Amino acid sequence: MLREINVESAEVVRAARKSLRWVQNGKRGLGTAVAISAQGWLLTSAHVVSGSTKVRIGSEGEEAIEASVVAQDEKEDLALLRTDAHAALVPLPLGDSWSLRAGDWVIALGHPWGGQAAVTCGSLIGLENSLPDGGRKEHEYLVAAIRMRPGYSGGPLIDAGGNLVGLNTMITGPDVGVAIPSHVVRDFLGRVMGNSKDLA
Amino acid sequence: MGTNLRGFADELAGLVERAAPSIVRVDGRPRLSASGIIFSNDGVVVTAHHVLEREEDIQVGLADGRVVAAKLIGRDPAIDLAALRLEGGAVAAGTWAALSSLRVGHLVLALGRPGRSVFATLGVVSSLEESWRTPAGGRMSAYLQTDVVMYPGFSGGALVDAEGNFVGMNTSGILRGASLTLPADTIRQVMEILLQHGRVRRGFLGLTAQPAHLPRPLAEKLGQDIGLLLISVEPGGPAEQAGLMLGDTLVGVGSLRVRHLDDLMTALGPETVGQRVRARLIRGGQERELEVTIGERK
Repeated sequence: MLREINVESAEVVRAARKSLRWVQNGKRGLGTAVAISAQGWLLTSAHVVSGSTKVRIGSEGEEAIEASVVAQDEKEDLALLRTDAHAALVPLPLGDSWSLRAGDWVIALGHPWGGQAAVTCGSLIGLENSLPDGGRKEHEYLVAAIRMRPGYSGGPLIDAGGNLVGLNTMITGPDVGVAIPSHVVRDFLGRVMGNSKDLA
Repeated sequence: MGTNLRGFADELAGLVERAAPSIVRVDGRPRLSASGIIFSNDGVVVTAHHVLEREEDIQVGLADGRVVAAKLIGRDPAIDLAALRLEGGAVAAGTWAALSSLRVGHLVLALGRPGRSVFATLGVVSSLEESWRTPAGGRMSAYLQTDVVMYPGFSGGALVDAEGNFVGMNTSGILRGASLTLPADTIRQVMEILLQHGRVRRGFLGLTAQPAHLPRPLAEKLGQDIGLLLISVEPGGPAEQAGLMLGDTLVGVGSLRVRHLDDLMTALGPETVGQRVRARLIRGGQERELEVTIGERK
């Protein structure tokens, strides 16, 4: 059983890595972006693009390309990128964060310290509407027992089926990672993309 | 996508969902809430002693969203356990199980309710050893450590095995910076005492001591090479009243040999309070016996 879980876990990660890109904003920030459509749309964190209008994105064995920052929402820490050079981008399906339950198995991907793509996994602790230190109230967060490091920001949190259920945003301790739930991401995309057919 | 990984995730979330009705929130200190476990259907809740910073005005948040008042039944600080009684209403206790089927490497879930909803983290059993004495002198039937992440407010919550049984209560109040699990059978034993007496009594002699080697001829005669050298004797305490003096080396209490402080703790269990026992000691190279009446540690 554990062996089968390992095989399937590797499969889910391999598929998700195709959607992953590192992001450089030309200043100090490094982070991760995740493709959500084959037409060149990617999601990342607002704090990763940090006010830039253009960023560079790339992955191992691929030339870095330019992407425009189409929209950013600092309050929700979300940003939308667009690139014309999207031939190699494989979108990650948007999952349903409402279907998550405490104890669910989740996997986070990112480019820690701007290096190679990496993965970490653990259990979903729960859904919070304020952080344990009392900061940033009235926001919805997925909190997971996963060991993210700087650079995971903007990367996907995926469920056991390989769907994007959250976007990594920060850590609140060495063992606790925080992500923006996909239903908040969906609202953001609805606001900034309108009725674009690209997300079908 | 694969079915095993999905099934694994579903099974974990299912275990959490089934256990959730017995996991409660405990408000007994400023700011940060903690967790508790419904111990029996008549409304008894177990939680961690260190999360109750007050004796009164304790509130418990139930799985269905109700918040009810709770009375403190008693505490055992030595194992960081406290018992509460909910005011009114039957509640659903989880299924408690002994640790016997647990092995190092098994997957386990830590459950807590620091807010309104149940929270969970997954880990493995890191260490499972036979009985252990806490730094505060409490006896645990097993030393059970896991690598579960203790989210803020998780102390007092449950450790759940792969069958969904409650195998213990997690607390970060016994070992600084690490979480331990109080085994279910120790909880049951101490809860019986707390429900009956409201506290756990511990014997008291009123002395401090350290292990010291005995001279070889004495060691051979007694069949033990270490005793406890008294380095202070509390004025008016049971030891002083019995005539024990600074510089005596204690080698036995009652029928037990004492070599280490742990032996002395064992000799001063709850049942010994008020008992008159023989203290065997070495004074000036000679064996002596004194009668001492064990007091109660306050």
